[in-house]
Amino acid sequence: MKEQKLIIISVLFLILFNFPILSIFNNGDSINGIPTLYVYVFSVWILFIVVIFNVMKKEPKENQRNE
Amino acid sequence: MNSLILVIASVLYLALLFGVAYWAEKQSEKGKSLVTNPYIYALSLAVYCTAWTFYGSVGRAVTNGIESLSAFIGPTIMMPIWWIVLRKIIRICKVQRITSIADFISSRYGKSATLGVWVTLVCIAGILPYIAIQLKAISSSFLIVARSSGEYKGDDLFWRDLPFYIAVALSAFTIIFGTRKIDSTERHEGMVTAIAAESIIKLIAFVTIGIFVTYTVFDGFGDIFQKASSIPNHRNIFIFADDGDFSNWFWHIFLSMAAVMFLPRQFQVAVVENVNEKHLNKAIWLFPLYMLLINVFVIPTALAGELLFANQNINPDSYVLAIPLKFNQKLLTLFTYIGGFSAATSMIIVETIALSVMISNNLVMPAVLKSRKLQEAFKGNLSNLVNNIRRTSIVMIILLAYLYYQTIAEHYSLVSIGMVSFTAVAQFTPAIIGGLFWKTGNRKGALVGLVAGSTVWFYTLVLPSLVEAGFFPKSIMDKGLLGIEMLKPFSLFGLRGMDNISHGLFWSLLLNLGCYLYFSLTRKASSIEHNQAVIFVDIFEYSAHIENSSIWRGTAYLPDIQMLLSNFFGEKRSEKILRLFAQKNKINLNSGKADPRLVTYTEKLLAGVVGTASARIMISSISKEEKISIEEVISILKSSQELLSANKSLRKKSVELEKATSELKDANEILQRTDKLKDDFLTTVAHEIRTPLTSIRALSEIVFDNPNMEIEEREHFLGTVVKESDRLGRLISQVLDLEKYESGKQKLNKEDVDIQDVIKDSVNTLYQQAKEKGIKMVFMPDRFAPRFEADRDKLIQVVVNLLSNAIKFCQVQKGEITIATHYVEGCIYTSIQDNGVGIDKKFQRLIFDKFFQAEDQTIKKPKGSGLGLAISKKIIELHNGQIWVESEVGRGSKFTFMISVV
Repeated sequence: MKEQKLIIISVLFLILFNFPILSIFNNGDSINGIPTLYVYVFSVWILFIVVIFNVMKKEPKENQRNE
Repeated sequence: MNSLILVIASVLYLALLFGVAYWAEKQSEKGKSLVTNPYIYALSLAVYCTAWTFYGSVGRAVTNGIESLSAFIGPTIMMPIWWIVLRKIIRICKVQRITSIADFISSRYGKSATLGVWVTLVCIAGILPYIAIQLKAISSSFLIVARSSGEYKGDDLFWRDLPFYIAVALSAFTIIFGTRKIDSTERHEGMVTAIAAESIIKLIAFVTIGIFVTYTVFDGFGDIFQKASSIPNHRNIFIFADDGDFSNWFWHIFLSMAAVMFLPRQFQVAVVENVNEKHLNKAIWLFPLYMLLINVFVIPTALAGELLFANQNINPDSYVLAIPLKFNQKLLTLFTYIGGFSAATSMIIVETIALSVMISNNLVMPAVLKSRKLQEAFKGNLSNLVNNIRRTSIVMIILLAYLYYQTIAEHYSLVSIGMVSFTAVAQFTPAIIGGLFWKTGNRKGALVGLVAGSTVWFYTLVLPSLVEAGFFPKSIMDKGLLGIEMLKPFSLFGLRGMDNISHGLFWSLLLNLGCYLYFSLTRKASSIEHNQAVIFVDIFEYSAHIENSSIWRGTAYLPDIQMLLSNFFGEKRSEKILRLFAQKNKINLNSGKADPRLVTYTEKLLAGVVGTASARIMISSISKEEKISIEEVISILKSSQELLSANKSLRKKSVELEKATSELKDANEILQRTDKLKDDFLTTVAHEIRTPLTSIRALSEIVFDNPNMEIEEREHFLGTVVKESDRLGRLISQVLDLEKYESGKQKLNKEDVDIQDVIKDSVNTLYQQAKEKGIKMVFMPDRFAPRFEADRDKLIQVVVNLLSNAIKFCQVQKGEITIATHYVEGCIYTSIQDNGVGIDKKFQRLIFDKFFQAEDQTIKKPKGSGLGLAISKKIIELHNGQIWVESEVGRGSKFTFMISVV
């Protein structure tokens, strides 16, 4: 179950970090002076860490069947 | 800055590193291991961030813009899959005692020595330049800082050779903390702790300089970006200029995804040094967090450097140092220098250990073991040989890297060489990922794929650098090999529109994967390849059983096995190892032939020292082996698994059986007791019935025999007969009553009842009897007792029974009976107290049993059937109440029953 979740997360973020999604933010605009692309990449990066943190925290007992 | 200060700082830093490593080893000897901590594990993974990250990222950001982040976004995206793949790899390596990536691939594909050699060669070819650029980073950062004071002119021989001295010091560190133990499955705790410490230092150093640049030199992120956007050239730094950039970005992400798993140093810290699989759970988000933090300031620093040093011809790789120098921040410069130094040294140390194990276990040892002559020469001294090979290869690797740095690396920036190394290790992807999840993947496919892929890698990525350095004619680059246009290294088969790295990666990996799949599907695998494939792919199914099931068949002799082990572990230790294993698995060590399990175990132990391929060679050299088919392997693994689970279920069943037996025993006891009670009961009832029957019969006979009896006498006799018959009838109806209660057939006929009425009616029944005996009766009712649902007649039966008992045991004329009711918290307590003979404490509970005297016939029988109290108890219990007695011999008794009215 956890393995499936992790694979889905990987694929999802591979898409978020690539063309064509990336091209939406590749427009030269800026937010408070910071380019949108830069803001986008780091926001998704932080989101990724938060998501993984939660997934790992939720099921600390799982996958012990192999121990 | 004075160069002497820099030298002292570097030396002090190295001393600190030695100190940390030494301290960690001491702690671990004391049993307070530091590496059992998931944070140390996660930090040691950050060995991924080298001097290339520290200095090169900024340089790369200047030339390639936001693409510089791809080397860190790739590993980030990879982490969730990495968790799945790595857990499997770690488990396999622990079970099979694998200690390097070359060993892993060789072991998976039938313990092939050839494959191990090739993987090792690719690693050396790919990684040496990478180590060289670390040395280059150290030396150029040193020069930049030293030159700034103007004191250094660049001719001094000592300063020129600084990287050499650093290389020597690092070799010493690596030898001391990396080759201390012969068994490379044992962990290098000192080394890992030192690497974790270095990861902290380089992170703090880089973030500090980033904050300095962004918030002290400039006014935050927005300020830098705004100023930079005014210069048209610099817009590209945070934007993808054309669609080709997106494709390059993708390929670079893909490349670093492979690299983070298969770089020898990552394999070393993530797999070999892993203490606990659960550490992955924290590392999986801590490592991306680390990479995020170290990258936040890369682009701002790059832009700041471009703004500050416009047209000054300063290498962007050195912006990190040049900026604090420009603002004369000496301490910050020194700290940054140390940060870069730590990034470089950590990479060199770990990479060198990993490579040295590969060289000793996959290159040199198989060669030594295959040659009879060499084997004779080192007989009895193999463990020293292994260690010496490792030490020598550590020195050799570092020296070769130094030479490479002197001859070629000068021409290149840090970044391109790093990416070339990444592409080299990416060639392992098909063989490893395929090997983990696809049983059909075989040796032939892996070998051909790897050879083809690495050849293309060499042709498209290494050759150009050699051309540039002047080793090959320039015409190869312009016109292609032998003048064939299609073979131009940077646009193979006419492919254009990708950068060199993406281009090289695409062709090499395509060919690699193609060959791997083609040969795996068309060629048959040998039995040992099959065996290993099954073990690797289904590791989680079998890992518990591999230890005690042997998938080897043949003849080997115990003395040979002993000799092999003592070669590496010493005589004493190997004897102990054998004895322990024999004890655990119940193997007889006295028969000359070695048990197959013992042979498998020995091979595994040796694999931990010299690698799987070498261990295989050694075992086959001392034994006559028989082929074992894949079906047999699977059935062996399965049967040991089934045996284990059968054993488990058997144990479970026997526990259940035991429980059932004891339950049965209890039930039987109860049954026997009840049976005895029934017998006793019957005896008592028969006895009780016989007494009146006897007297009835005797009296009737007398009347029958004497027809001339006087009328008065006859009346007296007949009266007694009637009385006795009554008693008999009462007794029988009581027995039937009791039987009804006990079998649960008795139903209550409930109605609204007032306890005072019940008592008054009962007293009325017995009033005459008490009066005759001169006994005083007192009733103290509780007026607050509510009415409740109960069987009125049954309650009267209870009270009458208790009252008649009281009357029975009271002395004539002196008797006094007090009846009282109390209503307390929803319960009505009714007590009947007398001042009669009283009941001994040990009988107070027994008197509620039917014919309680049956248990102890010595007690003087009370008057009556002995069933009244038993019936009373049943009635009260049917009302969900309780009945008990308090009494003292000679002082009287107090019977109380309580009924809940709620």
